[in-house]
Amino acid sequence: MEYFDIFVIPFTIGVIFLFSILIGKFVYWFIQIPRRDKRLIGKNFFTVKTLKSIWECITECLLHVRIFKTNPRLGFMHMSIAFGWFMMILVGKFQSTAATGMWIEPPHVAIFLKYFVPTESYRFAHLFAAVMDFFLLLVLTGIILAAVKRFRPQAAGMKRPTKHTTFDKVALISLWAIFPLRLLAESFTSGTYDSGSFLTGSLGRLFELFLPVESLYYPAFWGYSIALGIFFCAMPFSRYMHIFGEIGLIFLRNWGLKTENKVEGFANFELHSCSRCGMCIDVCQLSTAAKINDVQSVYFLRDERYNTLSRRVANNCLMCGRCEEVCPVLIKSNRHRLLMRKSPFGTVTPDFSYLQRNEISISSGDVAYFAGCMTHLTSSIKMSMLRIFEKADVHYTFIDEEKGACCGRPIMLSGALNAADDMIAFNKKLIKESGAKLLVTSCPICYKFFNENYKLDIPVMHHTEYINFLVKERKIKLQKTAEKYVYHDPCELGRLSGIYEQPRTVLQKTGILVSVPEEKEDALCCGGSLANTEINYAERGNIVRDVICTLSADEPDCLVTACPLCKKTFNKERIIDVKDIAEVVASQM
Amino acid sequence: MNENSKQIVVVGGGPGGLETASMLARMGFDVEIIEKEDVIGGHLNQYYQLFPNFRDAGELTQELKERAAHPKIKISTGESLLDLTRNDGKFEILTSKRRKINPDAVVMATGFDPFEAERKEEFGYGVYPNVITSIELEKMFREQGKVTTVDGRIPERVGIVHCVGSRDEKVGNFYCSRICCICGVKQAIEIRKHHPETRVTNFYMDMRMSGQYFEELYRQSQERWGVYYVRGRISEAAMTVDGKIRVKAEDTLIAKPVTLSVDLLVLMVGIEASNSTKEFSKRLEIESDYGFFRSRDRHSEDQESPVDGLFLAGTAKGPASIKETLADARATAGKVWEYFQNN
Ligand code: SF4
Ligand code: SF4
Ligand code: SF4
Repeated sequence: MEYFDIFVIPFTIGVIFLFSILIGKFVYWFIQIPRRDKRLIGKNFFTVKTLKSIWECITECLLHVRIFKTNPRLGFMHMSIAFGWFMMILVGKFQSTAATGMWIEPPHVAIFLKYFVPTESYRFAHLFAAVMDFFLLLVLTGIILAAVKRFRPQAAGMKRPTKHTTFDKVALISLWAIFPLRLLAESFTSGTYDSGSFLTGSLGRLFELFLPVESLYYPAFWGYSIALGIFFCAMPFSRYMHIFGEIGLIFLRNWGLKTENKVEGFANFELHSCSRCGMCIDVCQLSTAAKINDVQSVYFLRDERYNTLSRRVANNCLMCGRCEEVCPVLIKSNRHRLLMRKSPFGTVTPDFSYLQRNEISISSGDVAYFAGCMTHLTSSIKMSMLRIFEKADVHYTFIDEEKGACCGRPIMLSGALNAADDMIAFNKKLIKESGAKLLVTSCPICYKFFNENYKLDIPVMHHTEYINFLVKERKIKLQKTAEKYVYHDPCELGRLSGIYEQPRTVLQKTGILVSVPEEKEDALCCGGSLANTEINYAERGNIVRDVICTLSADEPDCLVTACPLCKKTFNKERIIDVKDIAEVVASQM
Repeated sequence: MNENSKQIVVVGGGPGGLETASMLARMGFDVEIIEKEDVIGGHLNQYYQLFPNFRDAGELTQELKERAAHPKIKISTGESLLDLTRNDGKFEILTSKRRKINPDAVVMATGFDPFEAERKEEFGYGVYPNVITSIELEKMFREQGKVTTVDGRIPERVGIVHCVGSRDEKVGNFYCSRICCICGVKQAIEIRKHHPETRVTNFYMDMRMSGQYFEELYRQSQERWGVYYVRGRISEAAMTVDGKIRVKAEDTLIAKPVTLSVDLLVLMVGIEASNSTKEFSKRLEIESDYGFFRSRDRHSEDQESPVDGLFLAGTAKGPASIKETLADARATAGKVWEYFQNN
């Protein structure tokens, strides 16, 4: 047989194994996708969304632009391996066609072309050899960077290396071995036949001086083939599955799919797209302020994928969303976390049906005000809002003044996804009865929940938006003072609801607002999040104090926030004056 | 040994500090009390009557002060400790008046601070005018001889909340302050004595009546004085239009939520290490939990700190009643005496 040698077998087995597993998995996940989503794919298939996906595959899977933006060194490392390798495969294919004259041939021919056609005896051979050497050099640079990063993460601009599983280690070692072995095999061949380009050729001539290159190149090709074979076999079970997972993910996401209520279909693509780059570890305050280093999205997704998720890992998370903000693959890991959390009530279902029997008569008003449980615990916020309503002469109804119920979000966040329904029904009825045309909430947690889970037919505003509206409409006038503020964006209002400007517009009218690096999308979590049921008091305290110190570096007079939970969390420490934006406004009307 | 040549500094002029100094002076030592406030007596100055026998607190203060008015005691008020170090068996103290003192032994009687009720925002302290602390209630009795709401009315209903800032994971204090249960009983009785028409309800987690005669007083409060008790923690307080405070709690004995409107809500604030206690226990690296001082041994060497020649008295080590503080102060004086027998 022309262009065949027994040493290609490990490689060939690896390729066949890899693609069978890969196709099997993809088909299985695709079948899981609900029919509604499949229709969505059909609808979007012949649209610009598909082109956009192809472009995104190039910029993200190959060039890793998003990683570049946050961490150029790490980006370069990912780019040099992914793009370099891809180009070697692509150019290698053309090279082998040029050399053998065949368009269709088994993959090993292109991969081991140097063995079968050791000299530059075909068209453009020297050019091909030079280009291939260049990309080999690029990949090798990436591999060296990766090795350095493993042992000295700081060198790659990272604080911590990611801890790996056994499959990952096997895949990692074989991956690191592949390219040096290819370099050796090609150099020995070049040395033997006096061929090769600037890298393999020069090295070959050098080795020839002191090594028996003629008898070395064959074993080197064996090694190269075995390394590839091992890598391909380990790949579908290791983090390198992300190379293929991400391609699927990009297309499906652009066609409009997302993880909903089950971990299947799209969610599986997401799960297998995490490259374990570890960027989520460095931004997580559990890691930076509380020394908890084994629960971040990277580990959570890994454990979820391998079915080894513990309750502690699932529950030890503030759900602040900082990790999602930096994830270069745009994985919505918190959705997964929510789905993986077990109900804390075990087999006992919490029963809130008594709410239906609560007879409450509600007055009517133009605006329905829902303070929320947390606001009831921080009464100064509630009192300020009532003063603002009076001052602006608003006809309002206080929905949860006395016998109110919780909005339902905390119980849902804790994993009891259905338990909130009774509360939703109860509150919905009251809001409807009030006849209000607008719902105002003081708590961003309620706000988000009303917006996304209640399906009300009236608009919902958080009080930051509402106050801004009242000021714009000249319903209230503000007096400016010389107070210096730093504004803390609550996670649920900022990152999770996108409200950044309204509070700032208002605060600029009441005093001097200084900006800090940790704001808007990069805002910190106050640390008080109810979503973390695992963290202990000391760890939480460390996070909270760390946030306060970071935010008060410029020595503001007051730390202003817009969430009763943030306020309560900060206030407990008694380090700096903390106010809700409603309090600031009520005292300066 | 010659007592006359030994000089001792007592930091803190509350009951613990005063009693330690008085005993030491009577043993023949030269003592200096350094008190950061302008008057001595500590928190005792604010109290009305003491549990469990309703003794007038002013009377005890007076007695302690008279005992401390001794030729061998020098009292420096309005002066605080800036620095305390120990070199070659001698201490070096720097005070806020830039004075340097080199005593042979030091007694830390830096005491406690009441829990800052603002930290439990859900109770509305600092927001609703009719929410006060137990210390403010003492002052009210002392200064005006009656209990009134902010607009001067005698309250029809008073709620007393136990464990404010104690036994509370949410503020990081897991410990029991030990004195507030009995203080809550005492104050409830006092309110009933002054205003028999006023209904008093105490909200508690459990009643810790460990001291002598405490349980009897608790029983009396119910049988003789008609004080109500609800077992359950208050979850939140809100102000109604008429200025009343509506509290929500769960009555855990009948497992039902309860709501009650009161005219005045009294928060039984717990005992926390005072700022000086926190600061110096940390600086001297003899900190136990929550910023209190750590003694050498809880049983046999509870008055000695791990630092040679540095002694501890009273609530600087943790929650204690006045009775316990005074007893501890006397023990500390004895231990100082023993120390100088050998040094
Ligand atoms: S979740 Fe995202 S940021 Fe975290 S390791 Fe995976 S790919 Fe990287
Ligand atoms: S959501 Fe926040 S707390 Fe949770 S893993 Fe991400 S960054 Fe960490
Ligand atoms: S003494 Fe009573 S009120 Fe005080 S902390 Fe202990 S249990 Fe609570």
